Amino acid sequence: VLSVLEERPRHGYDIAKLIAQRSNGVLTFHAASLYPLLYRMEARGWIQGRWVEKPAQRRRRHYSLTPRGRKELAKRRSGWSVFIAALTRVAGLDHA
Amino acid sequence: MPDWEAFVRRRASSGPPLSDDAIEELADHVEETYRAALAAGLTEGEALEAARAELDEESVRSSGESEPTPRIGAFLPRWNAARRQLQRVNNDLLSDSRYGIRVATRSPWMALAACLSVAIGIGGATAAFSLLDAAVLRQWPYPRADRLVVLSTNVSQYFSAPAFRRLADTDVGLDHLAAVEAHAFVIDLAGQAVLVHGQRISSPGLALLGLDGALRPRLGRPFLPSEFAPGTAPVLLISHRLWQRSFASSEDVIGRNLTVDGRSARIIGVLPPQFEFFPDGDILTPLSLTGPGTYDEFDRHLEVFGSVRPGVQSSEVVWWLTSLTRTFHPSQTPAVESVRERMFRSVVPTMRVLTLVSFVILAVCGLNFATLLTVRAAERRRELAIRIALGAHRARLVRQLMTEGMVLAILGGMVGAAVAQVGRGLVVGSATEGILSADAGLDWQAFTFAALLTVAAGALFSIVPARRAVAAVDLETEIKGSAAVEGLALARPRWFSSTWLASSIQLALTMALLIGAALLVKSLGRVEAFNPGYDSANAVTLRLDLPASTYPTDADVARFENDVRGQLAAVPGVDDIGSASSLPYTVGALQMRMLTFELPVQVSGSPEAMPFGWRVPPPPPPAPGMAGLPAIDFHPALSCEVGPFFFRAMRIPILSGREFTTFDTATSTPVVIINRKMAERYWPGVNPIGRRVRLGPLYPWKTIVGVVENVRRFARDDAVRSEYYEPFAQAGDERRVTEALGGLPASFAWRYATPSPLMFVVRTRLGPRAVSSAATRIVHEVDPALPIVEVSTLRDALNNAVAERRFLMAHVVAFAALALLLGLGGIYAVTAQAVGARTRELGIRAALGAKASQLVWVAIRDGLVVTSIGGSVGLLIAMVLAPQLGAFLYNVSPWDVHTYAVVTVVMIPVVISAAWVPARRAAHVDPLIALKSL
Repeated sequence: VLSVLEERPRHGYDIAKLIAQRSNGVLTFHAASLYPLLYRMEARGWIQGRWVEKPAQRRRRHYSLTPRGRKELAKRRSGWSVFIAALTRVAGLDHA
Repeated sequence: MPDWEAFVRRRASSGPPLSDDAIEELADHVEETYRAALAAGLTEGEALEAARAELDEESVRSSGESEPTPRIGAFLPRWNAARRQLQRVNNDLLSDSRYGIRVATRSPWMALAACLSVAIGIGGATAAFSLLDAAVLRQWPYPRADRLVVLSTNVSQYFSAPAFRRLADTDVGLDHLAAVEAHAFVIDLAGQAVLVHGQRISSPGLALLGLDGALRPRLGRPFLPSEFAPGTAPVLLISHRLWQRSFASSEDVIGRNLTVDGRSARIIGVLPPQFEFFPDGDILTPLSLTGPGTYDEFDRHLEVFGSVRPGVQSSEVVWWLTSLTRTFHPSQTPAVESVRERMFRSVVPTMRVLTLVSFVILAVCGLNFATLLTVRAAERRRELAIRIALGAHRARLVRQLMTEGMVLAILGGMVGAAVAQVGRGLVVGSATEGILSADAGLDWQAFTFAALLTVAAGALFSIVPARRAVAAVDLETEIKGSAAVEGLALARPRWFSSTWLASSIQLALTMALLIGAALLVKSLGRVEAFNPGYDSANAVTLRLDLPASTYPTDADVARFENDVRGQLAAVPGVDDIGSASSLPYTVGALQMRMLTFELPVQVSGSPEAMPFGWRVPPPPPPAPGMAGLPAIDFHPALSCEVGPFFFRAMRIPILSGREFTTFDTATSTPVVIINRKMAERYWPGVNPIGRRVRLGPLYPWKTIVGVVENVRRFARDDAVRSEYYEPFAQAGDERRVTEALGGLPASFAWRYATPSPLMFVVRTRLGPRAVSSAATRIVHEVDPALPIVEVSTLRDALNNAVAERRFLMAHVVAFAALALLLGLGGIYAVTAQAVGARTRELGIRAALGAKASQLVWVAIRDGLVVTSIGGSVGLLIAMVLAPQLGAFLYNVSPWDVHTYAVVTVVMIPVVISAAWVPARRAAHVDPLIALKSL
């Protein structure tokens, strides 16, 4: 979710759609789990939601990454890359 | 298309409630899903199914979502919103406070005045509270504190041992009935004889006061039941105070032997520090109520305490007691009084006045604070207007002004707590015994009280000015600066405005305080100017207590008195010397005796009230062989033994007859000198010299040889009673008669076991210290084992007696002065503000030719109207409240016209000058400036 928000603020449906697209449908979020997750991240100060109103459109809550969220993302990224590299080596996926 | 929000609501109804925002968001998401499904070519039913799946927990789990608590998060938006709100308020509060401090530093005098008024108000109220708390509200350490009662009858507050035994043997609804006998112990401390006051207590007293439980001794142990039996080795408990003072808090004091009244007694324990049931008691020993000396019905010396059994009313106890005493003493009516009430009875009037005064001062200070805030807010009207114009909410501005007010209030409150600490020190310092115990500490309770009071008063007195100030802002006038509108609209200012109202109430209360203070000052003046009947200047007093062990008879006392007096008279610088068993305003041996007269007397006046609740006792028991004789009239009189030339030393005028001389000895004719009151009461219009009086049929006749002026013995406002004096050398009738009747009854041994007080009054220009050192040397030569208990002066004894009045007066005067200062400050500020607001009007007047004096008059006129209304209301308030001072007013009516008039007359120029100083500025208004700004 954090990486999806990295480029620009998005609203909830957008986030869900983008994650599904980028993972080729492997990762899907239902509303029932996505929004609690978003609220929790907001509570932790990683993202911030703001209601955006556009003419002739219903208002939507756009979530953007906060500086803290950015930091968190960087931390997680390095964590993941180490983890995935390790996993790759252990499982010998490269050689499969 | 379905209503998605309703759809989400329905689906979410089973879980925790969702916020509207969350529902809206979810509905949007579900709708998008639905639309996407339709766009992908699904049927409407399938699309709806997909939408539903978005909210399906089952699908969540099956989708492999790692967070297992999907709906809990729904709480968060609400919570976050609340927290943000709180944070915002908090931030506002901080920035408002900072701003408040900045504003305060911009007008430091105003801020200081506001702070100070809060400080004084809070300080006074807190000090009063901590005193009240210490005196009345604080928990007593004794387990049965609220049920502890003391018994008395209409005859005496003391009971005889047989009467006590009857009480203890009967169930009157009281538990742990204990007898207490006050006793002055002479103890030997490192070779020096010291007099220590203490109590003997009977065995149930331990349980009654919790000494066997909640209040166990600090060291050692309480008495054992066996130690109450007569004839056991004497043991004693010492007070924490005595332990610290005389034994350096040494732990090995337990088991030490002490010579007490000539006998060896073992210290078995140290009482806990909070045990103050007997305020002057430093020694506690067991009291046995069996054995010799405990059978005399008429030897009343025991105080009886008990605790009312739970569930029993004290009225029931009185009923039981009445039925019991009716059997033995039909003429007596018993009474039961709460010990706590009795202890605090004397403090209550002072406390009531102080509390009243401190709340009046709190109101004055609060109003002053509010006035200052209002004045300041008025000066900032333009700032407020600009803020409103820029979009500030009015409520937000009220909050800001309140915060600024609260900042000042809290600063003031902190200073106030410090003031209370100092004030408390002064109070405790100036309070003599009887007003308060030293334990009037400023504690957390008082501190909490101060904090709550500060916040409450600060909020109350800053919300009103803040609201009014913000409501009064008129954008049109302020921003446009339409001077014409303002200046002319205020041509007739509302002089009933809130600031004027506040300062007139303040003035009214100040006026009332001033009148109270003036009444007290006048009363104290009258008390001090009162002639006590003797000359209190240049007179040093010495007090000795002659222990019964070495001075068993009155003859021994007389011999000692003669020796010491002779040597003291020889000290250079001593003009006169007198001696007595009791001096005015000191503790001594003044006795109430019943006299009978040789010739029948015509008694004029109503029966005399005797001091200390002494009451006329029933006639003495018929002596052997005397039963059946006609009843004799007995008349009460106070008696006191004195040495030769006592009246000369005291400078008590001798109205007729003569003074006692060295020729009045044990073998010469028995003589007495009576006071004027007694002469007028029993021999009105007749010369009493040569008349004879005696104590009863078996006693010798004594001839009246002189009449002296009345002397106030206890208090300046106390009634004068019939008194007679007899020479030391001829005292001791009772003892001689009882010895003649067959030895000294054991009961007299009780009474005579207490030391005989002997006091000297040394008329000298030497200071007390010089007399003290000479006297110590002389007494030591005559009796090395005898301590001088006290060196004082007649003047000090007198002053101590008015300490309570002085204490109260000082406080009320101080408070009134502060209130006046604040009130004048308030009037100054309000007038200054009014003048400032009317600059243009005054300018126009000046331009039109008004003289300076006329301008000043215009400026202060309204203020004077208001303050005179305030002052009159103050007079009324004073008239309503003054009777509260009743007990403290001596020879001064609470409605003393003179005092009221003087205060009013003094107040008028003071108030006018407070208004005049700022009003003078009005006279210097430059018409050009005023008109230019039109």
